[in-house]
Amino acid sequence: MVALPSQRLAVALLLASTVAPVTPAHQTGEVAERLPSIGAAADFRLTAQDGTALSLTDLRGKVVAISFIYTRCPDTCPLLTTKLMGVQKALGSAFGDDVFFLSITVDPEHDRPAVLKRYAESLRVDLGGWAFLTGTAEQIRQVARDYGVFHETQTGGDVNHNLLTSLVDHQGLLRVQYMGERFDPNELLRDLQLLAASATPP
Amino acid sequence: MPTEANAIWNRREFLQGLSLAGAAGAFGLWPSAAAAEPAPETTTIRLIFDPEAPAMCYAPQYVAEQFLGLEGFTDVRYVPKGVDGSEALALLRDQADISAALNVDWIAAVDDNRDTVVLSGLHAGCIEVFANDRVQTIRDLKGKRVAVNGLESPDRRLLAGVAAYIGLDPERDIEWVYARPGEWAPMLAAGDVDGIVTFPPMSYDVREKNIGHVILNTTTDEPWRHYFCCMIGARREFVQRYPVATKRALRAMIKANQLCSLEPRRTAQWLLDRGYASNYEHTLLTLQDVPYGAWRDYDPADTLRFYALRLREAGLLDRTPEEIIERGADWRFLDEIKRELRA
Repeated sequence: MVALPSQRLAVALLLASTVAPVTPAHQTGEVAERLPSIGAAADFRLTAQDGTALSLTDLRGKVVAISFIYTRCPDTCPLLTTKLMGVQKALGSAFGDDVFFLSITVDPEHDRPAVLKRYAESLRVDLGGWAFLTGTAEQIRQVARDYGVFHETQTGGDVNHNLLTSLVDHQGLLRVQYMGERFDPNELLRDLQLLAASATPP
Repeated sequence: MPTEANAIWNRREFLQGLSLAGAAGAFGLWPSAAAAEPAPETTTIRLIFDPEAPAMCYAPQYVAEQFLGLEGFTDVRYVPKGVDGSEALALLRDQADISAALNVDWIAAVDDNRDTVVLSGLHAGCIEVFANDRVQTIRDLKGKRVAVNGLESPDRRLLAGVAAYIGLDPERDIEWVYARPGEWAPMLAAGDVDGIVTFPPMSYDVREKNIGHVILNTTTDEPWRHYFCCMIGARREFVQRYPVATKRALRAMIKANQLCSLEPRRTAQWLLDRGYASNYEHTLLTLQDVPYGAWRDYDPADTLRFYALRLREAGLLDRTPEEIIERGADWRFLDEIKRELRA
């Protein structure tokens, strides 16, 4: 049986509300073992929901979670975003200061900054640590390619794409990617906290 | 313990290739500035799609087309597998570089030589054996006729292993009838054979036409459901020469695998639009029924060990299961991808 979008959203909301805070770990050995350095994360410079330019290097020193969504997405993107909202809440004061979320649209023609701003406001996310980004079709194509995200616009505006959330450490290294929207939010939270802790001298 | 397969990799190749990014990061060789993940050593890759008898449980292999482009492959080719129905043999003939294949197909290839390497599991389940009213269980196949692709075909090896597992002698007890896969269902319907081995989408077609009944389903039946049905392997020469390309290709197939599992409707439509599938409903059922998520949870070595034992029982394998694993398995790519991709 396939769950309706509203049912899936309800499940995601439940998950978001049950993300448990995890004690940060400082063991760099554990970080290296759990989160291998895959390589340098590709840089990009896109336009945020408030119209300002934002690049990945602007966030150097923070741990960045990069996801790809689009505002008209009827099912999976809201589930992913809601899951990230739960993690945002669990991060507490670290969110914004140490950890930053980027949601990049794969529907740049529709998702202009004003649309992204309304979307962010409707979700009531904390824009102090979260930016929604758009750009030209070519810019989006390139950044999606760099992060291994396939996207293809269908007739009617639906966008076929895979959900992939990438974690970039404070040095700009790609450390791990989460596929889909059904991953354990506590695992993501733990990875973010491990990376944030490893960026801070003990 | 270094395996025979691994021993072919010397330290320089190892550091230059697959584990450049991972090893350097782990050992702190990149304190601040790191190079991006290395590009694939080749931009051409050949996979298998057989339009005559498309195996839809291999859907991730076709869906990977879109991810292979993202991984740096600019020339992605799909080639048919040949009349013997064996993907492993197609690789040995240098017709393709990487492919999914039935577990026993890889085991037989490794038993014969060392030119293929199993890299990962793809999915559990997917095989169903249909039979007529004269046959209610696998044991009832004794003295009956079963249609298969050929003497050395993967479908025959699989059923021989299953038959041996419950005490039959597949050589003496079963009469094998050689025919092309497209002929099997009509032969069963006409009473020319008593059983056939099916895979998606054929199994859905047989069920829809109400031909026979299922006597074995490896997705649900013990103990078969605990093991990979189809696994991903590659030509050893390709793996040795192009370790980064191998890892990138495997990652593309695993991402595609996840997409098949998470987005079956969209993926089924994509397969239909791209000509990989001809029946949306059967394709969707395949994506919904086949346990693709097993790639991370199941141990692929367990599958090789289990099915190698079945083939030895059937008298179809010379080597021991451990020899098969040592000669023909390389899990390092999978291990790295498991650490880099969470699901």
